Amino acid sequence: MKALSILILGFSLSLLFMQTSFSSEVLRSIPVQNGGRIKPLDTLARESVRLIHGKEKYMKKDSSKTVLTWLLVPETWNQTELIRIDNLELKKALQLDESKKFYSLKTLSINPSIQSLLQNLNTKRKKKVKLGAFDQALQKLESQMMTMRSFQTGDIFSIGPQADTDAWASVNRVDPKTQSHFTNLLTALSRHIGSKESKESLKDLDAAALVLKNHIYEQAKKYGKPVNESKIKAEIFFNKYHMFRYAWICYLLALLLVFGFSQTKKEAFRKGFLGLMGFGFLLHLLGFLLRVYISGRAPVSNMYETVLWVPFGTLIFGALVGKWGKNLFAFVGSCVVAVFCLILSDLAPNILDPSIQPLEAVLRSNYWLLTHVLTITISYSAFFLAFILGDFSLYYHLNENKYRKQILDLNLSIYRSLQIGVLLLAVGTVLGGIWADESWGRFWGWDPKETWAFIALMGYLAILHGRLVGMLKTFGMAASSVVAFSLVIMAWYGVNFWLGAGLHSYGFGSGGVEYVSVFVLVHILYVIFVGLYRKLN
Amino acid sequence: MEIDKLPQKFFKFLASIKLAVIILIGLAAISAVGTFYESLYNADYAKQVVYYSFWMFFFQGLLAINLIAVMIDRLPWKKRHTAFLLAHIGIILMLIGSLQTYLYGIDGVMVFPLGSKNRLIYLPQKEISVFSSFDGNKYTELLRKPVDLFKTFRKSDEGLSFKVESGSDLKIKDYYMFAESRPRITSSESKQDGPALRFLIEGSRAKQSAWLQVNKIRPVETKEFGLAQVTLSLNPPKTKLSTNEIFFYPGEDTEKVNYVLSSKVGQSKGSLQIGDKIQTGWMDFNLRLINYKKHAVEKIEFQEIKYPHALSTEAVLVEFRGKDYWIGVDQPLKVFDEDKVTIISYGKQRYDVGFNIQLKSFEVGRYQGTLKAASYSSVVEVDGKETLISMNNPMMKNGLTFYQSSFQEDESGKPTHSILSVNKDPGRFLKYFGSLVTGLGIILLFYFKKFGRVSSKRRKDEKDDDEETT
Repeated sequence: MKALSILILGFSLSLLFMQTSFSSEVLRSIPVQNGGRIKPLDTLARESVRLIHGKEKYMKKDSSKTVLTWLLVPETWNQTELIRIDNLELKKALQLDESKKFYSLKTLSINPSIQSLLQNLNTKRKKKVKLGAFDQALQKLESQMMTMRSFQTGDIFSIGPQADTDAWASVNRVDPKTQSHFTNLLTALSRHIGSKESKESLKDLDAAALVLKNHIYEQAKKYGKPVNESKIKAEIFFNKYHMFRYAWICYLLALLLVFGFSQTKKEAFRKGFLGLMGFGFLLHLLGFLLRVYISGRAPVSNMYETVLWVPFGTLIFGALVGKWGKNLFAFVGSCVVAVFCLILSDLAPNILDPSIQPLEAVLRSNYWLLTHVLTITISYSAFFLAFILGDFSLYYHLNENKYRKQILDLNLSIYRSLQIGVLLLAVGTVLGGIWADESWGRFWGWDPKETWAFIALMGYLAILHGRLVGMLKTFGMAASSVVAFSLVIMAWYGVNFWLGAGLHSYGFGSGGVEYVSVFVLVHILYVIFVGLYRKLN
Repeated sequence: MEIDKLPQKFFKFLASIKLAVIILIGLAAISAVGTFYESLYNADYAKQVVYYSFWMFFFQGLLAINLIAVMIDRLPWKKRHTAFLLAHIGIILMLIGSLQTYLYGIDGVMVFPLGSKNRLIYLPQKEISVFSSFDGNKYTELLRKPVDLFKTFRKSDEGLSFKVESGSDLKIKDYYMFAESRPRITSSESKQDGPALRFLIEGSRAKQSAWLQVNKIRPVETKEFGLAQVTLSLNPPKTKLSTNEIFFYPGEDTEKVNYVLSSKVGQSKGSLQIGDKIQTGWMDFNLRLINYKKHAVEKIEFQEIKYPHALSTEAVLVEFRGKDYWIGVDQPLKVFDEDKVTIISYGKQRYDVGFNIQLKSFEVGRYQGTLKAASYSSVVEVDGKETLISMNNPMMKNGLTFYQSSFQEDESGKPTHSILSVNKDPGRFLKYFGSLVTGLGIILLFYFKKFGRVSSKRRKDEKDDDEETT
């Protein structure tokens, strides 16, 4: 037990110190207006580098510095192979070297085919044709190139608060004073880089950044729209400490410990498992709270946020269900779900966009929206738990006689999870109706998102009724909770990323369809395999 | 099997949970198909073909029967049946509520240009209408009939026929659910129609072609290309041409069009026929006449397409006075004869709300520094009283509810129209009440054993599984 406390303590300390580097904190905290809100330069820089390069950092350098050098030495960056293209078709259409991942802005700008392709895309957008994978990739490339150019021209640096409008002016159009502060900052940065990032030059850079930052704060205050400094600070903290990443690392380590427990039955392992899970949960929670604080809304407005939110619910239900059943299965199951979801959200930023975007008008400041989305997504948590427990139970069904006890424990937990899920999904769907009624005057409009929630509800109701008359026994419950989760995947992911139609088009993205299909298919095959195995034995 | 036991057996089947499971899966499956239709086609089509199809109503009806039967089957009811009854009664109420909405509800759209008055809403249902006028000011309604052409033409190809005036019927002969409209310029027999021409400008840097068409209403049309311009006019040029301009006007010859060309080199004159090419003197550009019609009209043609897109439309083939015409949605057809004009139109049904609404002002709140709308609201005046309608803040009047649903803007991002969604939902109360009852039922069923025990004689073979609920 002692060893474990030390482990946890050591881990949390390393959290704080691992990321320390000699970079300018002040530089990062310069407020910029972008994407409909005021954010620190740090966020703008990370988001832009992620968009263009696919990672938050280029060559592990501080992104705030990186993007400023795009303006400082645009010619050098034109030649740098920085822009990431994944779509093979697009590479072919542009006759690019397909073995490469990254291309320079210059190569792309002088590409003979790109103009006509973009014109084509524009026509499609005007006609409002649904864009396929190729066009979406092209659209992304367009925005990568445009973003990079807007850094090179300086247009993206909106740092000048204005008296008569909400819109901040870009650095090219601000008052001379702001402009000279900005120029001084660039000068200090070029000295800093020229001196191989020496400590003294960093001090100068910090000083220049501070002058500019204070000036922007003063201007904003003068025009009656002050910048919320604690939000900026919170956001920098949030960007720096990747709470969700450390949360999944905790969950993953916890799983290792529970594996140790299953092998040795030593109590210390069990306690360590629960402790690490608890610690991960706290990080997870902290990440959420910060995100809610920064964005000023509930964290369920896009796919990325729900992929963080759903396992959060699963952990809570796992604890509830696990306690009732007095078994560890529900805990382990929820931990697996959490690791899976958080890794997914961390490693697929191109599909699950982590940036904080402004909400569509219809989604804003509405009580029903908040409650219905929270309720429906948290019902997915319960179904996810039933799904993973179904997976476990199916495994035990390979040797039913030996694992009778485990199967019965799991069966009860699955049933409990489904009950929670059905209740929440039913209530959430009705709340969605109330929201639609309030916003558009129609309770039910057969929009695909609500229709798939309805389909999932029907599916799970069929399972609960089937169980009632004995149509589904332990194997049936396990198998159906695994298969029925495909309906949730469809409602949660498929509608937005695959069907791509309907009123819920906010929150739409693309990509990953092949992986999700494989995930679903593998589980269906697993169910068939266990079913056949039982028949044959 | 004994015959006299059949009714009893049939009732047991209607009340069975097995049937319930079949219905649930059936509803889920049909709805799933609907979402794919919506994705491939559009929402209207999915509703027509799936959500409001026979099978959907059939399963919902069967669900109601199943729910009622199972409740009768459990008679006499005991305390432990409370949850079960509530959950099921609630669903029946919701079904009745949705039927009310379907039969008597109104779900329309009202579109206002800024500053204008309106009292009509558009419904999703379609109608065909015919008007005539002698003077262009006063119109007489000859026909107004709701139609569902998708259904009509799905059943048979015969089409519809309406009596409009003595001696000639209006026939609807064909229908495309999804079509693309293309304007096409064709030769006209009438000497009243003006000329049209198509040209191609070609140089080492660019290549572009365009149509020009003029008539009495618009006697001059000009297309600009960077520094040069091409003009077609009914009459020869009266004023001086600009430096780089070619000016076309019709001559006596039906095959040839006259031109005056001006460039830095100077002015030249001549005439061209189809296929002729001239040097323009504007850098290395050539101009070629691709088509010329001395008398031309623009006709809209429709081509059927498999899947709709944002700009596709429905198209209807009508026969009137022995002639065939294609018309699109809300693209009325005007047929002239000696003393009057007849207008034939196919479009959304309109519904008069019974009072005038004036749009006083419209505002869009944007996210700072972007064009993305954060909120929008309309101030309207009804009976001299001003009301603010904003998102989630509707106006109620005469049993109708007016919601701010969206707006239109021009290319510069200036709002031009406010769009309200106007509804009447007589099933609202039952849907809400039913949801509440069902929700309560589910909670009791799952978490309060006293009211929620389902059956005492079930599943002998699964006794060891979750004793708590049995």
